[in-house]
Amino acid sequence: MSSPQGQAPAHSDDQGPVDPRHPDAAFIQRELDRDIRHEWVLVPKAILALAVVAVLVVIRQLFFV
Amino acid sequence: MSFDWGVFAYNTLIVILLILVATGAVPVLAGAMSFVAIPFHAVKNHYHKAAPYLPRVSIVVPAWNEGAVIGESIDRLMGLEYPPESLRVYVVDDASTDNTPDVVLAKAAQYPGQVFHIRRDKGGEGKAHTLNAGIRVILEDDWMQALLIMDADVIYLPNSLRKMTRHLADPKVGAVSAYIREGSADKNYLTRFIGFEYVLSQPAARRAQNVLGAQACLAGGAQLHTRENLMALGGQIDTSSLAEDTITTFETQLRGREVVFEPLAVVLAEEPGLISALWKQRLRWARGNVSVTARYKKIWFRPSKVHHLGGWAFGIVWFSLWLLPVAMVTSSIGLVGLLLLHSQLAAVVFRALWISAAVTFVFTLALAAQLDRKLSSNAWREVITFPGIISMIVMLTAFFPHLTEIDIPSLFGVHLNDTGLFDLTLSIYIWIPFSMVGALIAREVETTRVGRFVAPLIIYLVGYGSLLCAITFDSYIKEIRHAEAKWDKTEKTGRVVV
Repeated sequence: MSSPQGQAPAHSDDQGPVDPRHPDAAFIQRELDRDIRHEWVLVPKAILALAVVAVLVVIRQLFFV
Repeated sequence: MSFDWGVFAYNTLIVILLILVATGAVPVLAGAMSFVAIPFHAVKNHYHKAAPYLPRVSIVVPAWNEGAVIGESIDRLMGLEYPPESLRVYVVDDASTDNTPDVVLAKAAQYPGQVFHIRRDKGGEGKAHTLNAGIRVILEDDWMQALLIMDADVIYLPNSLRKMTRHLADPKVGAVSAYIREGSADKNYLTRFIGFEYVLSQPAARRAQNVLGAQACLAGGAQLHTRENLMALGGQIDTSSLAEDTITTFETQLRGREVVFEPLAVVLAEEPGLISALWKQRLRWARGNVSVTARYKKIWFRPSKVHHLGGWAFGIVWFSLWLLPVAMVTSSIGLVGLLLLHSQLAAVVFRALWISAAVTFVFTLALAAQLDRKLSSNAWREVITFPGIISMIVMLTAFFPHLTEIDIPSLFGVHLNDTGLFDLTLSIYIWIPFSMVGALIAREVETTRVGRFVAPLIIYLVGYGSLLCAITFDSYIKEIRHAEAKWDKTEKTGRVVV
């Protein structure tokens, strides 16, 4: 994607150490890809939260209805 | 056959009471809708349109008597993982009477061409005026490509700005906000409650707002604007309201630009450790929201092709929060009325309402606690008791009716007769409005000799949510009385640590 303003960071495929004050485009893209993958953990987290609710409902149905 | 007016009046009254009770279900359903949307952020987010992009960023920092913290704040900004040649910091000194000017001038000498001191001789007009003084200077040339608005005492984690600017690679984006995380070193019960509230309202609710396509508010301490967006806003921040952040957010979206919340850009902030200070801060926010609601009265529930602020989902979420105290009171009035007229129906409606509330609370708390595990594990007491211990008992009563009305009393040899059961039920039905009174009492006793122990105890009992509702209720009263709306700066003492 082209940048609408200013300059995009220099592009490099080098996976070696990156100066954190001057991160290159490849480094930022890797970070972005990692963050995109990170968002998928929301799904199992939501399922776990739903499971907690389900346990409560089952207890109610088994012992309190 | 004659028409029975008595039956008609009775049935009409029952319907009215049911509608009153139903008002209490709206915030519950709105909360459930928001939190159900969160996992969809995995697929509906802005990351797919983001790209590596490091624009020249001017940072404007409003400062009034921030001598204790401003030097370190500047050092941290200059140490961000961002090209230093693309960063400039403008500290707008709002007529400070401490050593703020000396500290900033020393930093300007240390970072020549990167740190600037702007002095206002007349201060105290509010944050928006202070910001505008800096923005005017920044816009004098065309160096700035993006403007970061922040507070003097917040700490940006090193990668946070970089994570925000990548969204500006999409020309449709006007502004980006970050996750303001409570970061006081000396946490107490209140800052832990606030910390978890921020988890609920930011990495949780604002992710949902990303999914819904409309953001309610850019964080005051972390809002990044494109130059184009700032110019479209008139090159200045609105000064007519106490809610300048929300107005900026709305105006950006009304002009067809997107506002993105970046949950992985983390900014640490110091939050009030006393109820009185929190009350002052939130009263300002709540009164600001009243003016925002009135100012944008023509957008609510009117879907538009330009923005999503007029969507039904966003409108319901907005009004549910704003009118939550009203819903709590009307719902209780409805329940008590039904109890007096038709106790069996009241019991059914109460169970339906509070089981919905319990299910929503459990789901939201369980999900939010996972979104910031470290903060949640340090504040596990506040996570569990967030709704208040008494409200949790009310939920248990709805969920497991025999448990609190028969089983637990019988453990102590107590068997409730009809009168006792009625009194207990009545107490449960009217609890929610009274929980707000409890929060008010907590504020009053806080400054007394026993306040240090009693105030936290009351808040744990009545719930942090009830405290916020009491503050919102106070904002209604202040608005009705046309009380003076003045800028009260929340005092900060540099307690934030990484």
